[in-house]
Amino acid sequence: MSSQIGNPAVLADVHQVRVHDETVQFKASSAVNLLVAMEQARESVIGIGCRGGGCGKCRIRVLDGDYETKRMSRAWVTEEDEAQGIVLACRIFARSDLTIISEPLPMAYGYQPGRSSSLQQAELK
Amino acid sequence: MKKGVMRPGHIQLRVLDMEEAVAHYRDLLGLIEVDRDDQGRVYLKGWTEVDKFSVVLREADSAGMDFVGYKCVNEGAVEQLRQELIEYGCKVEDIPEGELNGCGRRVRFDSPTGHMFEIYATKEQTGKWEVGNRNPEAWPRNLTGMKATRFDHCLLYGPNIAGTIDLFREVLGFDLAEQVLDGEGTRLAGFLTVSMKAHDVAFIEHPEPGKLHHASFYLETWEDVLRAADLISMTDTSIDIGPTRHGLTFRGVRRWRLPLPGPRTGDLGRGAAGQGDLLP
Repeated sequence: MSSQIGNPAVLADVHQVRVHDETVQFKASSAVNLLVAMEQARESVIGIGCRGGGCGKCRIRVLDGDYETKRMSRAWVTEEDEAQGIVLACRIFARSDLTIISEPLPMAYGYQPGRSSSLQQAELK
Repeated sequence: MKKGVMRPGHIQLRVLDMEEAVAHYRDLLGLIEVDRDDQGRVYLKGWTEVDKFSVVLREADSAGMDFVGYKCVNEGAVEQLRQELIEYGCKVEDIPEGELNGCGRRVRFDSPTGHMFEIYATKEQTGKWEVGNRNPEAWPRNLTGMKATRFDHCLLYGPNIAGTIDLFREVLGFDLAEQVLDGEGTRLAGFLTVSMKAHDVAFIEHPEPGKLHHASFYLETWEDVLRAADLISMTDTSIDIGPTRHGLTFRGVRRWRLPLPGPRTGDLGRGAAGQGDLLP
């Protein structure tokens, strides 16, 4: 199948994305990447980072379904990972209904945690 | 003591998709595309910069920074610093003239934080973009996007920032402008200057070596910053933080900061936005 990414001649399809073991579902247009589709659906099951395939924050595993990918940083998705369906959500485009699960990276020692703890720090001041 | 290093001169960034990266740096930030080379690298600069380029983009399979280069007053200073870097224990590599289009010989060296740095003295001077030297108009009429004026500094993350800060002070002649210490006196962040700027490079302690947190570009006024924020909103571009101010090296106008399409810093996610600025 030739790439549909950026091809205006191809009409967008809408696919259903199911999150494994959770009740969350959202619709994903084939014309936007999966992370943007999740944001447009006002869901938050995938972490949001640079939205450019570089930071690894939106790492997921696709358990079922077809998708097309753009280039992803090999720092966070190895060739072996990719063969197992591990991808960055900001770089994939749904080509069928999908079942996904979040696959965050193991965090390095010293990794600065997210909003909850930074809010706590702010409250302490 | 000044050792002949003048200022940050160029930064080479790895990007995953050159077309997307050029749209970001040229069309959105408003840098000027000045050249491309046979490796496919794209050269850009801010319109006020006299030297030929300050940003080089290289397509690669991971995002981040290849190196940042500092311009020295002359080739004699580069040669002297090269010897001192070797004596200090750095691994030094000589990059021949022309490896970057329009740039003279460069001396590349490693550092305790895992970053690669360069010093050089010679680069083709193509002049301020589109205004010239003879009865120049105030600014070019056909700038795009945020109209970034010049490369300003970068913030780098890595382990043992004390070691890299010592290298910059003792060998390269940078001054420590400000620092952040924890309760035990361990240095968590250091801001260094080699010019009249508040900082020319900054380091924050982080376990992963060789990381780029951000490269920043100068906007002259608060209005320019707000207009840039409008463009971020209008183009649905990911934003890390801002517009805001912070206390360290406070200079009145705090730039917003975009996550570059690429570099991961450990705190780039929306959830942790701003920790790089606020944590100290």
